[in-house]
Amino acid sequence: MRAAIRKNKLPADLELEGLVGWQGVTARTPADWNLGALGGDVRSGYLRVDDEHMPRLEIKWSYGKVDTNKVLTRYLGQLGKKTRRSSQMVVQRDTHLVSNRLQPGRSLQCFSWQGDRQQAHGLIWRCQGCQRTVIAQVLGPRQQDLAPLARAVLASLNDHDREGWYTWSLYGLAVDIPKEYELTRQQLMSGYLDLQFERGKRRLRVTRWGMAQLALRDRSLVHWVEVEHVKRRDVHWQAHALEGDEHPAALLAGERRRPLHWPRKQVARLLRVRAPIIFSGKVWHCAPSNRLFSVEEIHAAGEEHWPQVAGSIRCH
Amino acid sequence: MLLRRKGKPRFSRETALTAYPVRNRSLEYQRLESGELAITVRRRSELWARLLSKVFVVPRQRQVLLDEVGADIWELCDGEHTVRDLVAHMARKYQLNRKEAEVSLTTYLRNLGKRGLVGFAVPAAPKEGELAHAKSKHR
Repeated sequence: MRAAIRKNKLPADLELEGLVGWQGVTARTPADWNLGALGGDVRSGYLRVDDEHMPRLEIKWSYGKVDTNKVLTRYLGQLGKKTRRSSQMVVQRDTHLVSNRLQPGRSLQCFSWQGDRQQAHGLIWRCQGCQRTVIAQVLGPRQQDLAPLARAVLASLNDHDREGWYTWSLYGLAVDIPKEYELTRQQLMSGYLDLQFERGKRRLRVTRWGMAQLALRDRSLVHWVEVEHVKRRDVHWQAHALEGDEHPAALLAGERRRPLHWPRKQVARLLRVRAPIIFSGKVWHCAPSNRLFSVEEIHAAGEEHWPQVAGSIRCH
Repeated sequence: MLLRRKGKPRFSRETALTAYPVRNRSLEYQRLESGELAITVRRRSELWARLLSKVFVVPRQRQVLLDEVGADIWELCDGEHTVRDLVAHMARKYQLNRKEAEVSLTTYLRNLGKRGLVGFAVPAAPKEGELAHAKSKHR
């Protein structure tokens, strides 16, 4: 088995164009794999990626002291119980699918199993640096030569930030968010994605609308923004058309709406406290992808992240 | 036992994707200049329906208005395109991710189905043993 896996080189046509990223865990996938299920938070969570027919990638993570050997034994034991009627279940440990050199600083263990209809190649690790334990497996039909694909996907798996930034990626939207910000709300609907992050009273929000032509119709972008945000009560805001940008864009500017705003603002000024009360952001229409994007933030003076966040989005 | 309700047929995702949505042929529809589509649903003409409509004041007809995207899909519910074809069409035309298109389209078609505006033709699965029988015959 080991020799067979080693012999399996990555086929030239196997390109991992997709990217899935959630709570700091990222993996490269084939382009037609999409997020299928989500659960948990940054401390412990679950992620499933599906292709058109079946689940293809499962990732679980948690923090804390965990004996990966025991976790893997328990997982494979449960797997055996679930399919105990099947005489075809073959489980292998220490398959060396992914080299330790590809995932430095992690105690890595690879495994594989093969059932009546499905097979999987997976790995478990505990990172010495961040203490996060990750267990992941790539699934496929029994007949498929899964090892090269599984190796490529699992080798691309990462659970570390990039210079203080986590990549969040789903349904073709990839955005970098500062690591300290925690996801507090998400709306994943067809044609509408909304991710909201918080760090204390600082807020960061990334939204994507599909079918932009239908949403805009004959209206200007600024007009559309005004209509879209007309019911907002959390901020006082204004939108201005932004000239000279790659796409038609509008800048958002304003202040947080709160009780006794003006006196509180004056007190903060006297005490030289930089309170997160500034509202700013950008909305743009990407015609090639037929989508509208919005990045907005409530931040303190001189502490804005939204320009970098907006810059990290590759809209087309 | 006799009074037990007939359960709704349950389809797997794969079966649902290979189903052919078909418009209700008794309905009239018309594309409007705005790109929307108006479907006219007439009141049933049976005696009991006429009597009930007198009691509960049911209008002779009502209109269901579909937006541009809905109208586009409605026109493709001709019994010649599968749900999977419609997903591909929608993803291509509106530049949606395939998963996004699938979720919104299946929800939309389910709603149309609940209102009796479309039905679904599902390819018949071979009965258990049919294949085995055919094989043994072949031998």
